Amino acid sequence: MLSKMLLGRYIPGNSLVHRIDPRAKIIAVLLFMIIVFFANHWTGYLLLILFVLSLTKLAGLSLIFLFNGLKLILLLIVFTFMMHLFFTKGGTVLVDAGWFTIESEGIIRGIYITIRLAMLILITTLLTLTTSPLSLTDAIERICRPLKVLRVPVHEIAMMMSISLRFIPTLMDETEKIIKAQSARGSTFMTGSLKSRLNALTPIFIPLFISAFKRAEEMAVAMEVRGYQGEKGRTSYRVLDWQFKDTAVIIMMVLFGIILFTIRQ
Amino acid sequence: MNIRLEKLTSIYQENTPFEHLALNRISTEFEEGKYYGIIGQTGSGKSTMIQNLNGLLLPSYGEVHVGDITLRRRTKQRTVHQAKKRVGMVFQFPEHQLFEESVIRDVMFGPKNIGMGEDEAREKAEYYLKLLNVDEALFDKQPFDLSGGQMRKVAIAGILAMEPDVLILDEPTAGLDPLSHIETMELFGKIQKEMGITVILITHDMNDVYEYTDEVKLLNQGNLIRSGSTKDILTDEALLREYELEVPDIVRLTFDLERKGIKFEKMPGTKEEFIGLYTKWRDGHAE
Repeated sequence: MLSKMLLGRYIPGNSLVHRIDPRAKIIAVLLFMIIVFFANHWTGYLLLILFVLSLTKLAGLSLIFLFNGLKLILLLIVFTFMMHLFFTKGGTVLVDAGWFTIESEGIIRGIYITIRLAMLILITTLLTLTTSPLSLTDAIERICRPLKVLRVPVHEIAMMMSISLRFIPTLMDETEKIIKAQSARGSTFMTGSLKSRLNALTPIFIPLFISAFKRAEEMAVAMEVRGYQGEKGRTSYRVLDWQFKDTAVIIMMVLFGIILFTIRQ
Repeated sequence: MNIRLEKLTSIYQENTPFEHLALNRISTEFEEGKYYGIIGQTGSGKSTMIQNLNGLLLPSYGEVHVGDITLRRRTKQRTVHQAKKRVGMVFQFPEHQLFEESVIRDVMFGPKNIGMGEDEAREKAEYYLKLLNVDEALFDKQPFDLSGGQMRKVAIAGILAMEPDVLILDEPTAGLDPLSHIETMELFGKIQKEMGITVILITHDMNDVYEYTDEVKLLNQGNLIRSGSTKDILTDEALLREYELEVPDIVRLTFDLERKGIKFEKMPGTKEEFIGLYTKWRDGHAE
């Protein structure tokens, strides 16, 4: 169940998408987040979908696999769609049940927003799926370096990020182990009333918190004995290397944005 | 109660890039009242196999029969719960599962989950805590205040108090000091004999497997290689070497002595037996 979650997961690979400089990828994703909002009619949305699908293909990932991994987030999307369905008014009235109405504008807006959300989620998932957490934080640290002038602790923030990313899978595994141990003791959080399911969470969370705190403490000690003292005197084993293809990615993204902007109505 | 596996196949994360075949068409049986050992290298599928025995994992293909309960790919949670009642499982580092505010309440958690009343659960909890030599003064303490060894005993008591027909132990002695190691293994041996339950032990310690178990199942890369009596399998040096498993100390010593010309009339099963046989040989060869 939990093993299918894709949030924050990295799948090693050697596709073109994998090999692009992480900085280029982050900037491209940021650009995409802006571009998504340029689309305001069918052709625009269609282009967006095509773009993301071909990227997925290029990264060598199967859509079914992505879909399975993002099921939980689907709930959020469905919820947004429902909100628009019931609360956005305008156009012709399709259903009139007295206390609520569904109008055509609501459906159209709902679909648009759904596509936007889905594309945003897919592209960010693609980013984490094809970029190892380490190079991701490396890239963020590099991109944010100018902020140091403003006394923002860029390195420390990047370190915290990489540690938390690093521990997502560990904590997931741990959660699964504890769930198994408790359910071997007859705990049933998959069946029963809502109240009994909520009660069944205590035996999972308490051991999880305890081990997380222990782990954090051990980690801090381990870092300290290895002489970690922040950024001072630290060099990097992996050096990011910006190539022509990375510039090309950014240019492509900008062009894509311009196209979408010009076909706006 | 017997447990029977029929062509049990287990695949992790089917249809994803992480797909991994953990068990490959395994058919075998665990008979009532026997002490089993499951051996094999890390990644051979031992843990996957035992998790299939009480429905923590359901088979990808094939069937698991726990007494008269049948577990298949899509068996309902209600049925699975019945299997969990009858097959108790002590995980690796079981002390990590403690959560209650007092030792006694933590041990009562399992029994209450399977439908015992408050009084009955308390009675069982006290009985098994005492059986495991946990001091009565500790019953109302917080489990997190105990030492590591004691925490493990409390966690094991929590499983025993559910009085399962089959007890599965996944590396129960990992990280214990030598004395607690022997104590724990002796205790499981005693429980198995006195209560007549089936025990299934997973461990890397071939000495424990040799001394305590009746039968052994040898797994390698998801396949069941051999299944048979402990004495046959663990004295087969060539087989053990092929699967990179250690020969038990007693067996190795006996073979070494044999090469030096000291031959016992039979292969000793325990340290005591070894000493007995050796003493006998010495007496026979006294000048």
